[in-house]
Amino acid sequence: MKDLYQKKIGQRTTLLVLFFTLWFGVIIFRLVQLQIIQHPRLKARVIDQNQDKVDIFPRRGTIFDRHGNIFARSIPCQSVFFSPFKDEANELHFQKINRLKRILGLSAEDIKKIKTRIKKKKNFIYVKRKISPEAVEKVKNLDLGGIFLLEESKRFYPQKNLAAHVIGRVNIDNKGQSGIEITYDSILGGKKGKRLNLIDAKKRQYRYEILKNPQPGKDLYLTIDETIQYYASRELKKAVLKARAKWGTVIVSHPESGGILAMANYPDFNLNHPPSQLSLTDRIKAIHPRFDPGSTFKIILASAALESKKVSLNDKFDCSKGYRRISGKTIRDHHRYDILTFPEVIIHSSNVGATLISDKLGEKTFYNMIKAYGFGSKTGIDLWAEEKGTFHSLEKWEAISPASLSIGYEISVTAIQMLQAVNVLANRGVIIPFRIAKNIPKKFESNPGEYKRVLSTQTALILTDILTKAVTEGTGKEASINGFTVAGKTGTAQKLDKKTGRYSSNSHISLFTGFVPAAKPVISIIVVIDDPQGKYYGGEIAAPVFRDVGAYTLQYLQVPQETTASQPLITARLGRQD
Amino acid sequence: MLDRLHLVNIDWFLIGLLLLNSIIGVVVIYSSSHYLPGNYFIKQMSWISVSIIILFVLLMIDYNFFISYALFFYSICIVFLGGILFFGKLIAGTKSWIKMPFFQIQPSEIMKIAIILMLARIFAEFKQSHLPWKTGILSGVVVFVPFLLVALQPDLGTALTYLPILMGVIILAGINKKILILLLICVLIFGFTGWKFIMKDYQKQRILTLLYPQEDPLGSGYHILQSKIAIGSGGLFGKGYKKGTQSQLKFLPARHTDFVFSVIGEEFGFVGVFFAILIYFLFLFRLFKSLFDSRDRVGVYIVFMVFMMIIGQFLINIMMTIGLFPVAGIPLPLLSYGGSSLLTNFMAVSLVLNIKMRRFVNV
Repeated sequence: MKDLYQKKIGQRTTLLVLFFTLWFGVIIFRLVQLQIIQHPRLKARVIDQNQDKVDIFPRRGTIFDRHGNIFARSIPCQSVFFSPFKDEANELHFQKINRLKRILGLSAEDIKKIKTRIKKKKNFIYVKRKISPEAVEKVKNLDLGGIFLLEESKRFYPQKNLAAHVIGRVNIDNKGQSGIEITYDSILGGKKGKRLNLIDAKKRQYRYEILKNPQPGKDLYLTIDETIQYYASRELKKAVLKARAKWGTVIVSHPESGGILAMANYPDFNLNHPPSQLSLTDRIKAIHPRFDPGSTFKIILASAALESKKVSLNDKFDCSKGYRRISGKTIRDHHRYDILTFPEVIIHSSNVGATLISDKLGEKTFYNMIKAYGFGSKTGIDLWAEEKGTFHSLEKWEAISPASLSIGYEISVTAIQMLQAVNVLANRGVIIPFRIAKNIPKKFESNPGEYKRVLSTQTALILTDILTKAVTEGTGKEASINGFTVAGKTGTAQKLDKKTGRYSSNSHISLFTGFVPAAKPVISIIVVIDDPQGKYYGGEIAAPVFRDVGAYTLQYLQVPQETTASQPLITARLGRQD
Repeated sequence: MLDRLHLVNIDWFLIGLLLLNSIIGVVVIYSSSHYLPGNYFIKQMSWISVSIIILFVLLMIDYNFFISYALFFYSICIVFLGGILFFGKLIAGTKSWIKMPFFQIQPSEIMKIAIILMLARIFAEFKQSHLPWKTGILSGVVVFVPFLLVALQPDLGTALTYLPILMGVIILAGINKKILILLLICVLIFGFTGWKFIMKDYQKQRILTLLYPQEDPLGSGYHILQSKIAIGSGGLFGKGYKKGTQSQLKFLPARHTDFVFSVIGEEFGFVGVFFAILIYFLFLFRLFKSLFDSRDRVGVYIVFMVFMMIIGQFLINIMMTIGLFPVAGIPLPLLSYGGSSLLTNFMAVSLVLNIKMRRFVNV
């Protein structure tokens, strides 16, 4: 029996069913939208929030000296980072950081930085990197939520100050910043790996996969010998302090291989706590500062003279006036000499004589020889930030230029360039490129093949002979080493006063460079002392350092003494001329 | 009271659908909580067993008996609701629970049955074409007293689930257009004052969040966003059982209770969700059809109110998980973990079965 009432109910329920069906339709429509249309985007969101790609830092290679003594190594250490729980208030995060303040020694500035990163909702915030083991224990004991420790590695330099400039620094991310550390960064550094961390909503890592294994850095052996480096550093420090000089450098090399045995720089610093002033840490005195080489440059003059045969050993030069005026400028000798033979000009380092030689040479010959020695370009030693020095191109030469250059002015050189010049003689006329890494990887190898010849063997031998005389009879007497024949040349250059633009008469660079034993060179050394107070001649300041370092080194290397009291190679000829 | 005829007329199909949905619930609860302490799925299965027993026990009693004692049941429930407001302990921020030795129970859930019985009693002899003032106000009071008590717990979500029941009554009884407009005005005023004075900040935030979920993805938008991500990332076929990263990694909140639907979406994809909804729809349809098998008005009202109660919660819950309704803390009937809700729904279905199997008696 259907009455009106039931009919009405029927209508209403039909309407209601329609309404609900529509509602179901809306839901299905929305599901299609979410699960099919927006599916790729939402799936990406899932990956984004539960996966985290993290770099795995490789172990950095160790730096050894030539015998396997460690100069730099990486040791494990811990860093503290903060990964805030997302459902906690910022205030709670700040409290946690404040609790770490004392333990980690955070400055107000550090805390401010961390807080801004928290406010930016960063997932990963470093609180303090590379903390001490004691601090690690304390942080662990606090057990603060969201505060985690990260295994990292820290560079440790067991030799502290020794060869500090050469070894160089790394930054907090273990990236090389100077010296060998930056030169061979790609080899020492290895390759970063990648790790996929799967994390849950509480930011707890629950599983991880290695996507790419890190490649550990390769170890590097240097040509440096720890013991020789120690001698060189000790003697240099002594000399610089004694002369109250600004700085000094000593390089010891093995001419035959081009290997650097020691490269000392003073003032030095402790690599484990480098000072913040970069000029103190990153400029290697041996390859960076440029200076006028002074009389040491007479080696190049003599080379040009002999090699071009424009001057012969018997040529005589009148130095009796003790001075010479060229283009309105006066060039003086510090002693008055008489008439000198060509070798004597070099042996006694007569400036007047040198200018007279340069007259006979001709500009072009001299210029070409300077070029051939490699001045004005880098030696190519495998050390970061080498300077190349400067000298004028031939077109810019003035009338006085050959004379100035003959006594080592109007040109700026680096210590390593001067040592290279001496090595040309030691190697009987060829340039053997320097290197400081013993196991140089291929990519860094300088183009092999023939070494560049600068001089004939003959010229080199004659010059060597002259330089031994310079030590035994001339300005370099202080460089003599008992039982060995030293070939070397002193140099004393006035420094260009940057304010006045003129050469200063009370600021000098003292130099000595040479090799020993002269007949069969084992080591070559250059000593540079900047701005010594009081005595300043290279023969007085630099030569003794050469002697001491040389003597120690020869003894250490067990080089047998030359029994027959030094019979230079071509003494016979020179003797006749005397 | 129970004879052979009744047993023959029991709607076994409806019972089957009821159990099927509950078991789907257990399966999903297991996936989303097996790694947690507490054995939620075992507890849920125990609740299902208890609820089945209660369902059959209640079947033995003629529903008219419950109607005649409706006021009594209703009063007891009100007393409990009032009581826990004063003596209850805060659990998860609300005073919704009565603690028993082995379990706890939510009187606000059982209250739904009392409301249904009470309203059915009021409308037992109702035959007018429109709802008269007096009856309208009375039924309003029957719903609003518990509504207020539950809202004060505070558990606005559960309180809101009472409204579809009232709506069912109004639809069945028919309403004067004037009264309808008046009611709408009341709702508006109530809504406004509620927003201004009663609703807590977090509740307002939830509504705002629905409009702008991206504003604060880690704050209050978190639930909705994570639920949408879970469902959306499931795609067409889902990530596989127990392989839903959103739920397994706990990005998804309340994944075994209010957001159980999102887990289905994530692990079984659109296809899975579609079938889950289809099974649910069959259940609701079967329930609704019982409307035409009741022998008296009381029966019609009861069936309709039960239908409204379950479909209301079902739709609101799903709308919530797909980001079309504020997070209101309303569980998905039968599927979500929770004993009180499960028991209430079983009792409600039991009433419907009761009505249906007694349709040929004493007409």
